[in-house]
Amino acid sequence: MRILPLLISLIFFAMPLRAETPWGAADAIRSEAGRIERLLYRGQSAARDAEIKDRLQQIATSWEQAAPQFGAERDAVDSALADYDASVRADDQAAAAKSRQLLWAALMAAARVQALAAIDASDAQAASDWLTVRDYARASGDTAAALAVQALGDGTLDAAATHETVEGELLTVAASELRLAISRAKEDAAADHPTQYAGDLGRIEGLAGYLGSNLTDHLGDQGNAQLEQALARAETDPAALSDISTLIAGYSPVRLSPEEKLRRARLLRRFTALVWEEYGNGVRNGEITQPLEYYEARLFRDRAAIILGDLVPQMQDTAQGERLGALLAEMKAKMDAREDGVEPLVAEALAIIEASFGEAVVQGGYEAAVDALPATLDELQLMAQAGDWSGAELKRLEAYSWFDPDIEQRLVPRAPAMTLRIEARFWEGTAARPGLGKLIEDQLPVAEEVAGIKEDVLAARAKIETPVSPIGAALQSAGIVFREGLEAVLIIAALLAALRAEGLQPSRFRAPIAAGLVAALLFSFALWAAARWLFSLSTLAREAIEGGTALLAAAVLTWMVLGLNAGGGHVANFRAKLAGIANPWTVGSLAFLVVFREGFETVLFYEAMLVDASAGSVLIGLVGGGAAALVAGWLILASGRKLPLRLFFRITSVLLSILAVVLVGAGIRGLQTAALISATPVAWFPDRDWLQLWFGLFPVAEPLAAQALTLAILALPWLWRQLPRRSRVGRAS
Amino acid sequence: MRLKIAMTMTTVVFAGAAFAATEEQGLESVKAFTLEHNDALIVEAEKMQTAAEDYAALIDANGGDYVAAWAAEPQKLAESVQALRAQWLAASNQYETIEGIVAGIPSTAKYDLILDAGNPGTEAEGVAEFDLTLPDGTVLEKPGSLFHTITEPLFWGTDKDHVKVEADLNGNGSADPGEVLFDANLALGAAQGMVKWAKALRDDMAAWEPNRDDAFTAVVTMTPTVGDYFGEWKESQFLGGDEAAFVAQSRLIDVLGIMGGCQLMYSAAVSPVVATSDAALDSAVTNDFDELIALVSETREREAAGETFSAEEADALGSEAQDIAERIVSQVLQAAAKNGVEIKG
Repeated sequence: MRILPLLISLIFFAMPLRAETPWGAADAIRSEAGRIERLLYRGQSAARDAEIKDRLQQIATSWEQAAPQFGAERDAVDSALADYDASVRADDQAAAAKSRQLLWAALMAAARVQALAAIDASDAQAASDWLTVRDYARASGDTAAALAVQALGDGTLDAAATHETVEGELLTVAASELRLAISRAKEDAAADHPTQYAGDLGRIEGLAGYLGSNLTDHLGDQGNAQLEQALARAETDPAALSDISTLIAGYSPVRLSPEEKLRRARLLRRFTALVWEEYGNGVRNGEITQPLEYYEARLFRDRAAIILGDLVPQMQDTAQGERLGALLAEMKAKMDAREDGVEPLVAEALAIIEASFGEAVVQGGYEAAVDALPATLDELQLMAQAGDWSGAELKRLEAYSWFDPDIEQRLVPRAPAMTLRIEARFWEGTAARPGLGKLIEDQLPVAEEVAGIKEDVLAARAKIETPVSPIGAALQSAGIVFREGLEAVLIIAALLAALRAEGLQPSRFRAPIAAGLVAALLFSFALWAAARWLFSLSTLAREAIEGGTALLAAAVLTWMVLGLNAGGGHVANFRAKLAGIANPWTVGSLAFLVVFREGFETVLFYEAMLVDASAGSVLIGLVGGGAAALVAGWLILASGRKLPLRLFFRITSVLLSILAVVLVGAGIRGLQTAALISATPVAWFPDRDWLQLWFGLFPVAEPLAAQALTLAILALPWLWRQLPRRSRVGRAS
Repeated sequence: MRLKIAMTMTTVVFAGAAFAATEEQGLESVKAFTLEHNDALIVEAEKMQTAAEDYAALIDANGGDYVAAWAAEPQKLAESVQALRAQWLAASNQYETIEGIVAGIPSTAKYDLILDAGNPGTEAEGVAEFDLTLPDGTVLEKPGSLFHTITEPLFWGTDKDHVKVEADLNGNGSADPGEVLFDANLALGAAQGMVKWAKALRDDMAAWEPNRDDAFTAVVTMTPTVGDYFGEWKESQFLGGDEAAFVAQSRLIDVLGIMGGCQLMYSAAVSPVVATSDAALDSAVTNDFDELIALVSETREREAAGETFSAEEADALGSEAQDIAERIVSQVLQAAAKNGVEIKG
């Protein structure tokens, strides 16, 4: 029943297989040295010494077989191995811990030379194999080096670019690990853990050597001398560690690209925020109430510290970087003592992060959204699977907020119908395929829908990230302004035409309409600017504003249409009252409402378009699309001069009625996507993109019911006129 | 018994590596292994329910008066409590064997919270989303995990709220810490809940369609928890701490089960993918898993043998385990990136 002998024999059995390759040998040496270090913690015994001796022999055998393939770098490993062997045989636990780390650093350095040489020779397979002898990024999850080597093998990346990427990642990871080793050394010194402290010093020295000329060039002659002195002094005086920290505070082996810097800044913010989230749950009144949360809080703090180390050298305000470091250190001290007061430290750190790295860290933008949306959907799925439906609903809204506006704004100009389809999947979906909102409401499995949305988002990304030509950009720009502007133009033109047909002078309304248009445009830009710089306007709030404005516009328009269509005879008084509403003030207000309702969103669409299209193309499209919409309006007005008055009046009345119905559909839909009213998909109504885009007709019960009601109200005057006529006919017969 | 998990996992891992020539076979073998132990969990939970019924019957026979029951049937009650504890260990060990897999697969992760790892509803996160109905009709809303929040503290007397009377269960002349009669109503309700949710897990596990994303996600999600569990081990009563939970057996038994599950998932289901694109990386991950399991096994062996650990050694073991686990995760993330695998969560 003893498992240990079985495991040892199995691993020994497997050893020669692994050691057949140089990278396998390096890996075997690393793990054997780890085993020996653990054995050295135990009291001396014949069995222990025999096992250590066996393991040393395994290391020697592995190295003997692999050494020739390490080329000229083998000498450094030979030397490190000799030191290690001697310290273990001397039963010097601290020296063995230190030399173990130096041995691993020497193996990594030698393997790096081989890996880069293989890359230079375009031998991706050898490079990939040698690259397994290295440290990996713990906190940032970097995979650029592995992917670059893969691309080299595929022939999609040249050797020079691969070399640069791989070397950059290896150095960046080593610098992060160096900072981590210093941090661990400080902790182990404070905890009086001499063996671990010695290992930490070995790690620091080994990594400094691994960074080689990159670090020494940064430090200069004087800095290098100080580093050597501090390392020597740290053997007996842990205070020297602070000197080492100071020396490398501004060191960054590779300048991070803006994208990589932003990615790390977001990780820093995320890990920092999680510190309080976990600690607040894990510790109450100085007691650990949830051990896992407590440990995770500490883990996230450590990760934040690692990421900060990568970022500090590239922060413009180094004082802010130092303050962040101090805050993270204070968090650690408080968490170790299980004290209160972590939350204010986290809040201050988050404020500094946001101030230092800009609003993109918080707001996210498109790149953050495409990163965060799948993860949020995964969390949603996990919560649903755990039966936490209220949590899943919150995650759904969070996921939707990533989609709209960050992805939606970029997608609408290129694929408006696709945007509508994806949006519906976050909400009620269709009768045949319920969306996330419906599934969560009914507490049904969400995995399939989550997978479907992810696929759609990938397809959306493909559309968004495909470069757009100048002509394409102009057409997209024209499409937006035509689609968003046509409705407003038609309403205003038809209304003017109908008023003229009623004998009212259109000139009375020109000034109020112009004022309404200008005010709507100004308000749209003002709201956009305010939402960008003054306050946060949530996705749901924006949808609510759009929906509410559309319904208000629909109400005003319906009222006017009723007034214009009210028949004569015994309803003359009523008609007169209704007709009175068509005054310059209400017409101007209507113009304001119909433009403002789409204005804010249209500004956002254009802002998104300008990310990857030239301003000139966008402007040409804007002018062209706007002109097309105006031509449609002019055609309506002009046709009034050609058509018989009665026929023209009927046509404009029908057109205005249709537009009122469209506004009602869009308004109810807006309130549904603001989560203010429910949404019930129906199977009997056609699910067509063009019906939704151009006529606001969705296969959803609530907007359809509201539109039917509007239609019925608008038909009232006609019905009113029909009823007496039939009665007269009935009496005559 | 204590190292059966490690033994079983090691056997299965090597057997899995030998027979899982393809990813598909490996995924199926993981599922079959999990279902087998899930079935065993149900059997052991049912036995625990029977033991709880016996215990409740003894209390009921005395009109629900625990003092009178202890006075009337001390021997039978002591045996009944021992039977409950033994069945708890048997059921828990079956679950721990598959916990790393159950908790790592998104569609079954909720059962890990309900059975073993979830918090009560009073906590903000990681809540076990279920209500427990007791035989007397009382409904406990979101009471926490059945193994570690409810039954372990109950059966071992660290749940002070449900202690009914102190009792010299081992007959040494005094009621030592943990020697108590506890609430029979809660014991029976929790045992019934255990059976119910173990069966529900079986249904969902049977419905699980093994896939690559889930396999990678399970390894990436669960392997780093080794550091957390080592932390709990250091805090537990086995190392002189004062945690109420983890009193029945060492947390290292759990660690072995969970890491064994991760190793099984890797060797059977992930390794065939990684080895195809990067044999050296696959070899390195395999080696690291061996090292991790060996570290935990050795530590558990020594603990079971009564060895003591200095504060530095316990800390060093935890740090080393965490370093190896993080290395494994980083390596699997490299493989995931190279193979276009999506890590969930």
